[in-house]
Amino acid sequence: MREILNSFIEAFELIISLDKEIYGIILLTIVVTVLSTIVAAALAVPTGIIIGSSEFRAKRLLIRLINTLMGLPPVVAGLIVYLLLSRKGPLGDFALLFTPAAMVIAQVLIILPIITGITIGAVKLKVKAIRETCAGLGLGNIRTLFMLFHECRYPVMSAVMAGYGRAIAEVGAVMLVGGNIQYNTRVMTTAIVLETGKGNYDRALALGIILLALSFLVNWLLQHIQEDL
Amino acid sequence: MRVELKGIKKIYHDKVVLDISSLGLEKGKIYAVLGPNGSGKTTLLKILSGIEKASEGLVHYLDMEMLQEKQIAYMPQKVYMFDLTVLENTVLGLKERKICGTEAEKLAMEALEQVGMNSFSRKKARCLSGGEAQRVALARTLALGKELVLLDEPASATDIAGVDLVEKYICCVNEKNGSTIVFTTHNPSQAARIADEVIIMSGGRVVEKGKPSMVFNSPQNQETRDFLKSWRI
Repeated sequence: MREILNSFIEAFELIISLDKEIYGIILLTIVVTVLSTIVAAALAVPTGIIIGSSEFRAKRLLIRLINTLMGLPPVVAGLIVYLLLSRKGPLGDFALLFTPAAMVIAQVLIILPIITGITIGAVKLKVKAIRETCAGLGLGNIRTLFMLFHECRYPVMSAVMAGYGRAIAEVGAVMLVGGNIQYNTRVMTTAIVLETGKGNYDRALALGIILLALSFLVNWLLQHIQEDL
Repeated sequence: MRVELKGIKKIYHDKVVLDISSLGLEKGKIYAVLGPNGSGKTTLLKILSGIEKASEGLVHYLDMEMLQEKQIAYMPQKVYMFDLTVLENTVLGLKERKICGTEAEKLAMEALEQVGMNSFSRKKARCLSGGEAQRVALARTLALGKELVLLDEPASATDIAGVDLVEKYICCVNEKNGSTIVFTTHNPSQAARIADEVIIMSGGRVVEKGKPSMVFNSPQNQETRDFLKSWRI
């Protein structure tokens, strides 16, 4: 109990200390997770709407594959990105390994199936009624897709929030492809792992509290946007 | 003759749900399609609208402009209201026809007035009751002024006063635009009130077709007699 109380005090001290390293870690965490969520959402939402609203032969197989990938272990995703970006890998020339860009790529790979899968589920529930209504009113395909997005915007936002939640909590992939380099690729989760390894439990817990507060703040913001939609 | 169905079959999971050897619909007439549940009424409307394709056979739109210019409007049985206001829902199809701004709003308000829903225009459509939503959906469909209008049970959830408005509006659109209107109903009295012809369906087949007075007073078919048994016209 005393340890937890000390952690709260340390978390508060860390925030008000204006420690450059801590603020750098917080900023990088926000940049990497928000950027990966935006990129993943931009790819996953249209894909989810198109898959959910279309009929094609391999649809069920594709949905099963996406559902399987929703549970993709972050370390596996990290390993794939590591192999792709390593010097001998197909994308080695870009020299992205151990950079924040590699961390974004790994997180996109992890959250892409999550946002796609939830979007497909939301679209499937409404697509029949919306398509019939739109067809009955003579709306074209693009307008129908737009209406489908409009009607599914709340579950789609929830999907994006779930993706963000996964990104901010993720440690295995960013550790592998980022390397947890001080002042460069160290984010909250990898910093917590490091501090725990060093036996600095108070500091690790304090970082955990800041991470939780950060997650709450971004979720609150997304919720606010969702309510305004 | 504007629309002709020839050898239409619809098969779902190896079961024939619609089997029409021949059916013709004349321009400017109101048709009521009657029949028990599962008799193929909705499937017939969906095939006429082009939303579903027939497994076999052809639908001839003898005036080809009808399909090319999307001259068909369809109101599904399960009404779906978009998460917009009543007015925004009603202008949706008009915008697609390049009728925009105040002109679209004027047409939409006129249609809403016809079904007694003009005072709800600024309300969220999701807050409407089932009967109110059905009337808005009817206004939304009929406001488009299409040549062929297909209505799947347009007044099934509407109260008596509402039914009267709905029927008057259907007749008004038919007279004003010369639209061919096909609607499904379980109510022979309603069919007798507004339809020029009734089509009785059973087991996916058209078992009888003709003027309401003829069909209801002297049905030629046992299936029609069975269907009408529970109704007093």
